Amino acid sequence: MQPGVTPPADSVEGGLWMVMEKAELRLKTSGRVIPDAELQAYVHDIACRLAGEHCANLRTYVVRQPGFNAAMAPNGFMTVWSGLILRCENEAQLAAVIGHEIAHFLRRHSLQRWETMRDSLGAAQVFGLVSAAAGVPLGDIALLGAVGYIQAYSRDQEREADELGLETMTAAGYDPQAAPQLWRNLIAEGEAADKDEPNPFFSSHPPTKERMEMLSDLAAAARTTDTAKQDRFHELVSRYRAVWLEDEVDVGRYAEIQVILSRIKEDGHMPGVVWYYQGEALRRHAEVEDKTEAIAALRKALEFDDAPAVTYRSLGLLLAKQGDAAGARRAYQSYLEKAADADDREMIRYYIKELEKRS
Amino acid sequence: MTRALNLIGCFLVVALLAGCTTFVAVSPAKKHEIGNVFRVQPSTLWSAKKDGNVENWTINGFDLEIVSFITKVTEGKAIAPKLQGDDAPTFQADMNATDVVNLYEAVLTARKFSQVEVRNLRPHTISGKDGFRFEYSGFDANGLAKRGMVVGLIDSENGLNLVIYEAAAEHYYDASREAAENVFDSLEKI
Amino acid sequence: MTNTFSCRAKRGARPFSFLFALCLIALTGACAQTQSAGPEVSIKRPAGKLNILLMPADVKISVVTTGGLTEPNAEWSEQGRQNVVSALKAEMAERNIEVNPYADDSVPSYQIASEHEQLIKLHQAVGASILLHKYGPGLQLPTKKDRFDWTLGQGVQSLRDSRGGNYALFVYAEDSFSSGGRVALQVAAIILFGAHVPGGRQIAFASLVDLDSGSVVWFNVLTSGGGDLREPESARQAVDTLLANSPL
Repeated sequence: MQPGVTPPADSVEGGLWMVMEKAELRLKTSGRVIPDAELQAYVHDIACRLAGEHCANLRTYVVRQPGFNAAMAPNGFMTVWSGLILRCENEAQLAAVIGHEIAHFLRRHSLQRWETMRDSLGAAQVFGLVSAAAGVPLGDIALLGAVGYIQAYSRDQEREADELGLETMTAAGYDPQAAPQLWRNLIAEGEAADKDEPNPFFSSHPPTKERMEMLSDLAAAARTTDTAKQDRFHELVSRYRAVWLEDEVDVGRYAEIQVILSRIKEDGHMPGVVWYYQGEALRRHAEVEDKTEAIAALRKALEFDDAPAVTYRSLGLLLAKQGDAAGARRAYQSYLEKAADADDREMIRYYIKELEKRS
Repeated sequence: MTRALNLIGCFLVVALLAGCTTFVAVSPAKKHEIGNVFRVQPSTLWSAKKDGNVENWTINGFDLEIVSFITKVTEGKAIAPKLQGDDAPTFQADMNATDVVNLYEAVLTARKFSQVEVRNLRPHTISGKDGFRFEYSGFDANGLAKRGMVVGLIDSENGLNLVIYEAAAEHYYDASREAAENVFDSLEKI
Repeated sequence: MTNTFSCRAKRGARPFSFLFALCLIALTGACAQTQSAGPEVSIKRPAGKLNILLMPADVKISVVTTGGLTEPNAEWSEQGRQNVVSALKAEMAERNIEVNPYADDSVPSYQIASEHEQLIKLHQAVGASILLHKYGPGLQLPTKKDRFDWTLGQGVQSLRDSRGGNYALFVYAEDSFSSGGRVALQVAAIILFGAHVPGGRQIAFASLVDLDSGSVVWFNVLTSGGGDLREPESARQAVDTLLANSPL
């Protein structure tokens, strides 16, 4: 079975192919594919360069979905979650993940995995898993944990993919050290996270010590190159960073987001936005009862030019809850000044009036 | 065997349902009390189904248009606990409208909505009491575009109470909008 | 809003309520049986030939394994699709109706133009609603008592304007066949549970949509214990039965 060759319709693979085609069609019409032709072309271009002659068989989709995951179906359709791109510090790290997934595809690991799965899962479940991996949830949230099952490879397959992935990455001009670096970042995030929630990517690619060591060794042995231009990455990602951070807060990834934000801060990007989200995540996290840190983070954000206007709104909300009516009113007024056309300004004006009544 | 059990399960549900009609008529001629919180008088006939503290109305079917009354979400409760599960964000007594918007967005996420946008959060009065109102849009779990509007009222006795109109963006939101607006306009607090 | 049904139907490409509705019907349906909704419907006939926009037929044929899992079979589904499409075209020819296919139906993977996607999804939702509330026992809507006035709205005119047609015909069919080992399980299930475990289950529905107003002017559901969509003659029979009481 060659990658990209459609299997005969009466075969087992034929049935699964149909399921994958349906899943791809469902993804395309789901409203989740980010409608930015530039962004889509950018990711497709990276995948293409890494896939070489198999580029013609690839279809890539960047979907709006928080969390770190990328998945590739044996029929050549690949999805990359926006949460994954958010967590990459540069294009080389993005290329590392894409290259790794393509390696699984080229080595037909996915197809072997499909065949094993077939014995225990019905087509509807397979469809559900493919959809979930693509970022179009179908069933229970718990299914996301099972998503790892679809991508779970053997140790040998992982080693093969790591090796081939690094090879193609380096050949394309990317620094191979980006691969272990990305994994270190993910592990750090995983350690901060709530252990109950399964990380789909980790269930399929367990970040064992053994793998990390192997990956570091491979990277060290590879030719060190860093010729690929990387400005496009920063240009495109800055367009979306705030939105994608908001998505992570919206799904309650409060602990993970702090790890991501520290890294972005270290890399020197968007300090005002970063401090805002640090404060906002603490504000929204119900388990954090003491909001002092949240207030401090929001105040810190305001020291920077790029702090979004909603920083004042969040500050107002917190101060009001703390009983600092005057401080809250001031913050809300600043919000109204900074965001004159905010669509919730009437609501904020109401909050101000209520606070005036109290004092 | 799972398939057989699934079908048997269906059979039982069917048997239960067939015993009674699930939907009741809500006639425009009179006022209706909902959850002991709201009184409402629709301008046209609706079909209604109750489920605990939620009452859902429709004309053509829930996936096409729905008016949902969710009452008495008190401190520590989630808006849609069965759907959202144990980790769901819950209503707290010191929450305001902006906080409720975040709670509602979490419900939409649990319903597998994507591209959710909330607009125009503003004050809204019901029986002289201060409430709030906002609109939203998104794609549902099947990729069907949906639009909605929400009216909310928080009070110390009943906690959070919401009235939601949601419909398919293609045709239904506009077609049933007048009927829904009339329901909203007639809202009274008991 | 909330998922009020506890029945866990298998999920697939269809909306959940769709599958649930199907499972209700599969249970309540006995032998070859159709129930059409929509009163004696008459349709507007133009001066010339009536033109029917034939939407891509959605046919899924699966095999039910001994373990009770349903697996779609690509070859069977494609055979079924081709047979249903041929049958539909033959039916239309008999009635002197012009058939206007939405897409090149010689290939299975149809492409719905992006501007029509929401309409197709809306049709699925409307179809699910009709199945649930017209065919689901105990689920009738008081607002639909003695009336059948579901619609896709005037947005259908974009279909009419880009593809032509007076009415659009949507056909959906699903069929499954047991592999050898299933028969034994069926007998056991009947004895033990008194429930029929379908080993070969067919369900089809068709809807006819007015491309000016968007109204679903006619809708029919066919449930049958026999017939094989993989066989052209059998598919022809099924389509013939499905369309028998249509206004076409």
